[in-house]
Amino acid sequence: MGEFLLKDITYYYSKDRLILDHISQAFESGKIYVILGPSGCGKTTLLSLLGGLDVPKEGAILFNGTEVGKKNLEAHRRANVSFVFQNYNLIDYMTPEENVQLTAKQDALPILEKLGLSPAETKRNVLKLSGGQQQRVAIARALASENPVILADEPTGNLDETTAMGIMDVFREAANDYGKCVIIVSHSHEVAKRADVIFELVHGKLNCIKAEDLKGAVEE
Amino acid sequence: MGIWGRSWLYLSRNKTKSGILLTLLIVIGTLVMLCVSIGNAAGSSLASLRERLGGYFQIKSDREHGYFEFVSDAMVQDITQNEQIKAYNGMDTRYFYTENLELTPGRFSAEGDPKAKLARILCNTDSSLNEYFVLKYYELKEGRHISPDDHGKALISKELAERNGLSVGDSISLRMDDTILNDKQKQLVKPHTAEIIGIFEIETAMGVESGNSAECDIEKNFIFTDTAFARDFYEDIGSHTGAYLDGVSFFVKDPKELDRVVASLTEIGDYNWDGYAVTKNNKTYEDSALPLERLSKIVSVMVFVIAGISAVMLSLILFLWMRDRVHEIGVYLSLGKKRSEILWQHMLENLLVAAAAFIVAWGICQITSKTVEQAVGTAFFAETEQEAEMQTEPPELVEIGVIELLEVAGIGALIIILSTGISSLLVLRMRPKDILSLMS
Repeated sequence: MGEFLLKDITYYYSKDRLILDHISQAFESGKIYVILGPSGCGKTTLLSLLGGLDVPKEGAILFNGTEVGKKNLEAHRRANVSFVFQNYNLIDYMTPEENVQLTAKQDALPILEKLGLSPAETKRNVLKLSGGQQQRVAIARALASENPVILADEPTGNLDETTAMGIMDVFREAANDYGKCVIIVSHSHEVAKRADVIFELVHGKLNCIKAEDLKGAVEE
Repeated sequence: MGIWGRSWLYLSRNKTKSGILLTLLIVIGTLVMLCVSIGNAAGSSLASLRERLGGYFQIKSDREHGYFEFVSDAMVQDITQNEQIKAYNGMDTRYFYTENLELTPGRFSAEGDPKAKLARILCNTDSSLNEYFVLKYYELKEGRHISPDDHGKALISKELAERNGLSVGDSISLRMDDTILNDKQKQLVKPHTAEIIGIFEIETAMGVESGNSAECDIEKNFIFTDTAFARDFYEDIGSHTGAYLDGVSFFVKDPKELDRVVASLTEIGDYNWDGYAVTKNNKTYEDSALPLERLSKIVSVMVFVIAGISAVMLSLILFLWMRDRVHEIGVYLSLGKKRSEILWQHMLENLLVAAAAFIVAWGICQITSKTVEQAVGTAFFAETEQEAEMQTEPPELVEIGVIELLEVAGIGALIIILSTGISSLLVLRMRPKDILSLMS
């Protein structure tokens, strides 16, 4: 990945209350970014803008020098970013293998097996898997797409702590082994502690904080 | 994974929905296919009826207004240039003495008048087109009709044949009534012989006969001959006639064109059209076509109604199901699938089910067509005695072939594309972010 850049972006539903206030930030490949912040502060909105689900009111998002605008949102989602959601968002009538094949540019089975699913589990309906396994399938789908950025919205929100840390290990592998840029939106300080860079979104501003300062960050 | 793979997975993993859609489309397909088949059958029967019965118009001298403008051979040639004219029958009526025939007795026999041997001779270029036969008052039972190339041929009634022991191949001899001729002409009169080529039966007598009727007015004594034969008698006395005294009936290919053809007559040649009376007759066609046209209209309405109700039902069902697919659509959008690709996937799923449904419907139609044919016959034909007398038979259901299958498939595909398009677009027109918000 070249450059993934937020350039002075602003977002609002009404002009008197800015959700995102002139944010500029660059994201690099091979790193995990965690964005913390209270509910309703605009974390998911920021992730939507990064993922090409919406466009900023002001400013620009640049991917490898190309602005992500209304005309190329689909192409951006198809070629540059992959989503991992809190509720997994798998196609419920498909198997894990078929879900991964939706985006796969390579064989799905090795990725699924590497993420801990047995061959038998890859052939089951996804709803028959545990939450942690479903999230691994979602991450496998993101990895199989070979898109350079993974955008994860509360990926461990529905998981117990042990499973959540297992998922974070997978993200770490994605960053280190696959060179992915992983941007995670979360409430969890435990998740944040596993990140390379931590941001806190407060009053529309993205503030970089250190892991040791996490006690002061907002956690619900 | 491509659209085909995703469509197949959706159909095979959602068996209940696929089954409901399949059943619904089989019912719709069967109904539409039967309607199309009945409609086509009615259409082809109508076309055949038009061809068979035709409409015709008659041109003859307008004697009621004092005109004596006879229809000449040349005029007939001019009129038949119109491509809508498929046949004609030129007519003369003569009264000749029968030399070797005993007629059904009438008034003159009782009076001992020699006119008891006088018969009415109906001269035709094509006797099958004479109104007596066209309107089925008479029916040819043996032999054949007089055709334009015949010379010296005759048709007689079954009663006349039985009374005189005549059959097809025998001859009758006729002589001109010379009472109105001058002495010189009387010297030239000679009998002529005509070969009997057909025997007809009177199904419905057109005239009112009584014991007081003259022999020549009794229909059993009518003799049909060719016009050339009748003209021979006048050639003998030096009178050359190239006209049809009783006029000419012209038959058009399509009765619906009758008015247009008649209206264009006055553009033909240099004739005094005021001196002619033109009468149109397509009543036989109109009467006979009535049940078929009624059937055709009902079928057209039914196809529209079924198609309309189907489209509404399908749209409602697909829209209800689409609410369950918001999550799936959201996932596809987040994966960067194009809206058009998602829409096409939904259409493909329904079109695949429709293809299977229409093949099953086609099979059902093959099995049930006879039953439907009988039901249609009972419902639309021979409802009354009057209709039973018409020359219309229930149409035989046209076998549902590739064309009908494609017609129905086309209508079905259109309904499905519309229904799927409407139901899918209600979700797809939303912003991806809003769909994902709905999902969570």
